[in-house]
Amino acid sequence: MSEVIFSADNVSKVYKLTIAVNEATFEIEKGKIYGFIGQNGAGKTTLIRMVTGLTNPTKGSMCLFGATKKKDLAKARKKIGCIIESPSFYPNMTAYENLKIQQVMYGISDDNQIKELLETVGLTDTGKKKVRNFSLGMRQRLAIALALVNNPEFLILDEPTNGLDPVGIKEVRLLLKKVNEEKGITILVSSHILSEIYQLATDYIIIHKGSIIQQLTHEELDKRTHGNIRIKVDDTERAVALLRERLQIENIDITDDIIEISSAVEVEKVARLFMDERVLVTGLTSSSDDLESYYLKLIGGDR
Amino acid sequence: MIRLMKIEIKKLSKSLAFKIIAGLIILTVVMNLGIYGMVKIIDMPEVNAALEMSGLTLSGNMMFRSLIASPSGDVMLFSVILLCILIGSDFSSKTLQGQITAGYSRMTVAVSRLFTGIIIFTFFTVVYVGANTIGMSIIFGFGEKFTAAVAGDMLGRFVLHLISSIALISIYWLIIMSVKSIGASIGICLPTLMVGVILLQTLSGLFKVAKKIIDWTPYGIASIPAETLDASKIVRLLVVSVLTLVITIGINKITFDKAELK
Repeated sequence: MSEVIFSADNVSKVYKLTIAVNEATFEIEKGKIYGFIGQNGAGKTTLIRMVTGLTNPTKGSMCLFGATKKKDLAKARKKIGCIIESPSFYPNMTAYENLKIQQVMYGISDDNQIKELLETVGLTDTGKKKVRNFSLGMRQRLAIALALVNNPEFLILDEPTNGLDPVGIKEVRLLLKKVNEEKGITILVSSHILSEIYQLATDYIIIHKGSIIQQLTHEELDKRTHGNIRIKVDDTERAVALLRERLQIENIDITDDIIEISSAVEVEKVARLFMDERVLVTGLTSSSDDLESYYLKLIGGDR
Repeated sequence: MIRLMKIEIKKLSKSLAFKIIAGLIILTVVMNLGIYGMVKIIDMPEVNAALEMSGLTLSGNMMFRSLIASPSGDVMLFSVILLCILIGSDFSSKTLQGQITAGYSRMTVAVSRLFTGIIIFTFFTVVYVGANTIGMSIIFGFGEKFTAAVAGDMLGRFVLHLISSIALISIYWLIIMSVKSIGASIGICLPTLMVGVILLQTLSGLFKVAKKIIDWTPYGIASIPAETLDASKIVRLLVVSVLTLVITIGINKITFDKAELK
């Protein structure tokens, strides 16, 4: 079993007349990417704010990197990087200056790191442009760079793709995958775009009306949803043979020249295989919709 | 704390509000000295008569004393406005929240803002009082022989002025940290600063009991640095200042620790 870096035990947050989070119990394991799913007002942000220390739980306990006491939790938060709702910047400073200040906050002095981070998030050419003049996408990318300054072990991102265009959304997804794979950073990411979460997450935590109603892995989700990928290619016969030989997929259905795979296969693997073998893909739908329908079924379709 | 102070100083150096207010302070000094310069150059019988009646002789020393005697002077006003802008924008841009999520205790984050207020006030006071005193000394003379003892006395009074003002700043810091927005904090702090002082002075003049109570508040000790000093006054100033700081930091600890930060 992987190392648990965060656990919440019956954590609740009660405002005057509302229960924002109700006895939430869940664990975050090292190295995984958790998709945090829930409707608006389900309690995602409140829970994230409790983990990051912006609000205190009404009851229950949390354990972050082994720390449980208030003072120790604050120290343990030095290992966290986060973006909560709208990111925090000094708007009258440049991207470089914002990163420099973030370094000062963590006691780091490394100009190369700033250059690397700006390169990673694609903001090297912003020069003297003040952050207040940045587009939403640029701000979001800078927020990710800021969250990475302290080389966090745990990255918490609340709606990091908010307001981004499709290209920006894809960039953020690839960036998060990259830092997870290269640096082993554990990620907890909330988003309303379930297709994006599906392509990114290894695990899911589903919250509804303040309660964690399910925590499951990507594989478990695929089993439960009978995850399927529908592919249309120029050479169906060859494509099926490749899927069987290279990816050992047995459950393949073909209807009207559309290949349907009913197994937990990553879309990217299939796409890469066809690209390498020069099979022209003319249509592809992944089971991302299934996460949406699974989620809607789970919450009873109510809003 | 040192890292947060470094950030605060960097923030100040980049702050447009700081630059504008520093410019306004310099402008105020220029206008002030300009007016006194005109009094000297142009014969104004009404002004001279008024000065004669009040027994005041215009000099650098007189200016120094008058500037360190007021709890609601220009410098305090400008410092509080700037503090409202800086802390309020820290809340709205979420940079303050970012420091908490980075593992700093709420107390450290809050107290770093109090230090910012003290730094701002000290910087503005040095510029304002220094420039006015030097300017008046150039125009009218210092008013007495400037010796090492006089310089020492001035330095001591200046330090007392800073200490008594820090107590006042801590009250405004507590208000700003509680309301967490630029507009609301300016809306509360400015009337308190302008009307509150006049109200307390009026009450103090009308009722002996009120005067005794107000004497033991940060407003009551503000004039001490300009008065004839004795040990009891200095002790009162130090006690009230330290107590005010302890109380404001204590209240902030209780309220800010529980605050929901958006």
